[in-house]
Amino acid sequence: MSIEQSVQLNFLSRADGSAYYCLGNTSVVASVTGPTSGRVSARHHNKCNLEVQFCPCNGQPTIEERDVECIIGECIEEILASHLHPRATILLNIQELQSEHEHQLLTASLNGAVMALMDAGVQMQGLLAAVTCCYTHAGVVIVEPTALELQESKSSLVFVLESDTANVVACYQQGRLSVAEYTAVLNRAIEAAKEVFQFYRSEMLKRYSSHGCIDGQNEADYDYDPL
Amino acid sequence: MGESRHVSSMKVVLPGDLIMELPVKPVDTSENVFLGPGLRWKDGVVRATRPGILKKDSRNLYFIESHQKRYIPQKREFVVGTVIKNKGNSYLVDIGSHEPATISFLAFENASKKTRKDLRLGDLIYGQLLVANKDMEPELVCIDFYNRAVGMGTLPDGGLLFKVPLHVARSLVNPSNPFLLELGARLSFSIVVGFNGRVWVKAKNMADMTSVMHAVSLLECMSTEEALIKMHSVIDSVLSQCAVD
Amino acid sequence: MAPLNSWEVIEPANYFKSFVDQSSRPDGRDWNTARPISVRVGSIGTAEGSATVRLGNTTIVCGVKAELCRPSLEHPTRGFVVPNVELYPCCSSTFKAGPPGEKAISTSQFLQRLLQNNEIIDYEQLCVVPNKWAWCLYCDILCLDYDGNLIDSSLLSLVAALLHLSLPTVNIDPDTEALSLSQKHTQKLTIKERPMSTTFAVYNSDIQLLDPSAADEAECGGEVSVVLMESGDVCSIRKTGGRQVGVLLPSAVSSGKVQGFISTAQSRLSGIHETLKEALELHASANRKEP
Repeated sequence: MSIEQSVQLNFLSRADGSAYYCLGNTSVVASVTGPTSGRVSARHHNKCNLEVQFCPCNGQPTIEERDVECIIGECIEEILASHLHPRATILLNIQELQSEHEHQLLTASLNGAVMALMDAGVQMQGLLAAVTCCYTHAGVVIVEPTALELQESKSSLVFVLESDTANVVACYQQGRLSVAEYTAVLNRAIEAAKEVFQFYRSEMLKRYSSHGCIDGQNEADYDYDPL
Repeated sequence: MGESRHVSSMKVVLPGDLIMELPVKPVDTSENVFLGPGLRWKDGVVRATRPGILKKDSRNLYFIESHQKRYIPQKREFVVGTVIKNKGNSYLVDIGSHEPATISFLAFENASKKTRKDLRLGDLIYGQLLVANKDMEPELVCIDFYNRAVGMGTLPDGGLLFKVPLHVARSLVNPSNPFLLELGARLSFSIVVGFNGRVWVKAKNMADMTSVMHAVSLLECMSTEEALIKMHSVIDSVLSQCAVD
Repeated sequence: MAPLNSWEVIEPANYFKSFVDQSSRPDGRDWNTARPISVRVGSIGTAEGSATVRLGNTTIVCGVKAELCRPSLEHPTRGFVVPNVELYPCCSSTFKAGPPGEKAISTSQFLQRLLQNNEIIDYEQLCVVPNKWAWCLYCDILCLDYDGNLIDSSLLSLVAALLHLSLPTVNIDPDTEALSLSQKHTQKLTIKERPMSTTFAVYNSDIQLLDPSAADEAECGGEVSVVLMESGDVCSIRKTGGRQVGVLLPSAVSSGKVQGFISTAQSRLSGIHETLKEALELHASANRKEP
């Protein structure tokens, strides 16, 4: 992947989990609160309610932001072990700090949200990675392109992929492609998603080894009794 | 706490990671595998549901040690909570979970219908979770099976309550925690640590309590060894600050 | 009938599964059968363009209202097309009155992007006087009866209504710059491409249901909408995640499955276009007879 990505976990002190995620020139802050008690009207008897708030960096949220909230909510709910917290609410707030293209923003928001959920220790059944790709008029697939490359491309796509099987969780496309071209982009996206998952893993390794827990110093006498 | 068991750390895992295949229950009980927090068994495989360090103890109990701030009630855990509502025969206690816990007015030592335990709003309670499952609101008690308090009950006035991440609270409840021993050698105080990340401290003056709070907060972002080194300078600075004020 | 009905209410998941296990669905179709489509254009007399689409029980009315407005500074020679999907409580009890819900918003946005990013409409044709007057086409897509598969039916109704659209010609008085509309002389809008969508609901990684009804959607995870041009090119593939309980990644599909979706959608393409053409011809011949 040509583009730089970086994250700072536990960025906010008041949230249960947060991540400050940068992907190239796009940066977002995602924060997670919960499971907490939410609106009574939004409670489900069999699962938790996921509320996504997306705040653009300027102006009031419009209908486009509502659409982004829908997309993120649907994707995240796919991995959340939501049946473990019935009647609870998990709040996911995403604040855009800087972005150049809506596809890059969606990708960064999703990856940031997943990292914030991991930081909060919310139980999940798997992980997601979003990847932006574009297909140029010259027939080249670019993974994580710059904003200029996205504008000049024939078609730009966002794939949301699942960690274990590289299955497609969601996919959004602008601009037409032939079937063969589409397949080529999808295959590159699957490759690129592996790098994102590798990034998640290295960040978590950093986080947990820095606390000195990994070398077995914190060997407490745990009284967990599963029976 | 029960007998000390040897716990070994294995590796850092992420949600969805395959831990092991566990198709059927083994006949031989010595091969039984116990799954603790952060692990789920589904379709014959065990997967992680939280990021953290996979640990295993000597009796084949696997669990994930992860960092978390939000408390999810677990049966039999000791927690510190605040009374937020009087519901006649029971009280609602905020323990940091998504639903407040209830505690009956009879769930105290020597409490009966005649000798009611009267709690005021804002009182702090150190108790044990009797009921904790996802479909019911948690229930606290301040007595054990033999109706003894064994240290549980309302906490006296004049203490200081603060919150720490759950992994810090879990390391503090270890009686042989070197950090707490060192802190106890430096200052004299009494401390109550709930599994829900709420810590209550009482010492003879506010300066001591504040220094304990700041010292314990060090554990949020560093290991025990680092915190042991930093601890004295933090306490010194807090105490000198308080002396000036 | 009562026992079967109460089973459906008490255990909807098991009820549905018993059908899927028999390679069928509660409405009697197998997994790969779509519901019949009927299209009627010109159903609303007061709108500049209109169409009614029925997809099984799903009924959608699309009316296009044209208004003159100022073009944006960014694109002084382009008009506007604003699709707006309305899901009122009368079409299904799952929708509440009040501001548009998630589904209505995401469908509207999807249609908007589809039109914009693929140059389906000649936006320049909608401009009357550069920098002064341009047509704004308000495409109100109203769901009368909701029985699943909103994307397919709303896209089809939108395309049919735009094909039916006839804009009045605008005469500008050169001296006063006053506008007058002539309803006698109308012009058609050039639609360069006719995108058509085929939606699948993902039940699990092996079973996907073509053209899901509302009952299918409730029991399935996510949905995949494959939008193809007449040539068979991929215009857009929209895959949403699901909002289901307790099933491990219910709606994720492998990349091989995506290929399967495209080829199924391609095989359906000619049939849908045929239905649309017949509806347009029927309308045209009826118009010829009338005067």
